[in-house]
Amino acid sequence: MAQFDDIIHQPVRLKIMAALKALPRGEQLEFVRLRAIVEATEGNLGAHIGTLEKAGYIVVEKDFIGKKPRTRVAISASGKTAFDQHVAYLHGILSIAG
Amino acid sequence: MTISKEQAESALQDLEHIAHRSATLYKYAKMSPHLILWGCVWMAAYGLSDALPSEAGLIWLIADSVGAALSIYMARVYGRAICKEHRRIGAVILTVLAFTMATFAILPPHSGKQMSAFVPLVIATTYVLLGIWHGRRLVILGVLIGALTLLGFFLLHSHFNLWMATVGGGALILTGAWLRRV
Repeated sequence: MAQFDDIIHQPVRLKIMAALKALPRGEQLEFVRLRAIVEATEGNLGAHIGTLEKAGYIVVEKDFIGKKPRTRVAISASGKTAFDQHVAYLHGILSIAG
Repeated sequence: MTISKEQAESALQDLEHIAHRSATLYKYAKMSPHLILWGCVWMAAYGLSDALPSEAGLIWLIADSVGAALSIYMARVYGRAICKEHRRIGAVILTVLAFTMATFAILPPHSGKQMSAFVPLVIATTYVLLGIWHGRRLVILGVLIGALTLLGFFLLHSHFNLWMATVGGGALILTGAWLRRV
């Protein structure tokens, strides 16, 4: 079902969701790689990740590799559904307008 | 909230671009340790073949077996979610192996140097073909290995194996490191 999602539609969050959705099921993306893919600053990306996590669209895992902190992010099942619905909504606009 | 057709179109284009970039970088990151591993295998096997040319067959049999075993181990440890992809890569490797053996059966090489050059050329071709589907960095690797192999084959009269150990193995290791970068 096509449905507009205000949380996902914000440009950086849309990119985050697209980057995570492109991964095979269950795979995570490291924060640094995600930052390079969506081309956002560290603070900006962190804030948007927080919003998506709060909405239950992504799962954030933090751990340490030796003494170095590592943050990994994955799309959740509800995030995948919401993203698919939002993309269907965008396609719907094109088909109505076209 | 109302979205115009232009906004929707622009958002979908962004999505497509980001999804493609993310998927490509993910594949690169998974391939990276395998390229570094095989770069080390090439360095060791070509280097030893240069020192002990009469034992080259045995050296390569051992090196390929160790390399394949380590590759399978790494794929299992690091690649839990891409089993289907692993099966495809395995099928590609087996096809290339079968093609190489069939070619040697039909057109037996006249020298060890020919054999040492033909295999990397087939591998270079495979990288180019994989790269056409999976990302241009693999195409660059394939072209690089192919060019270095031909350069060494035609310009070096001795120590071709040493050349392949250094530049062939080095190219694999450096490309492996490059694939890790975003």
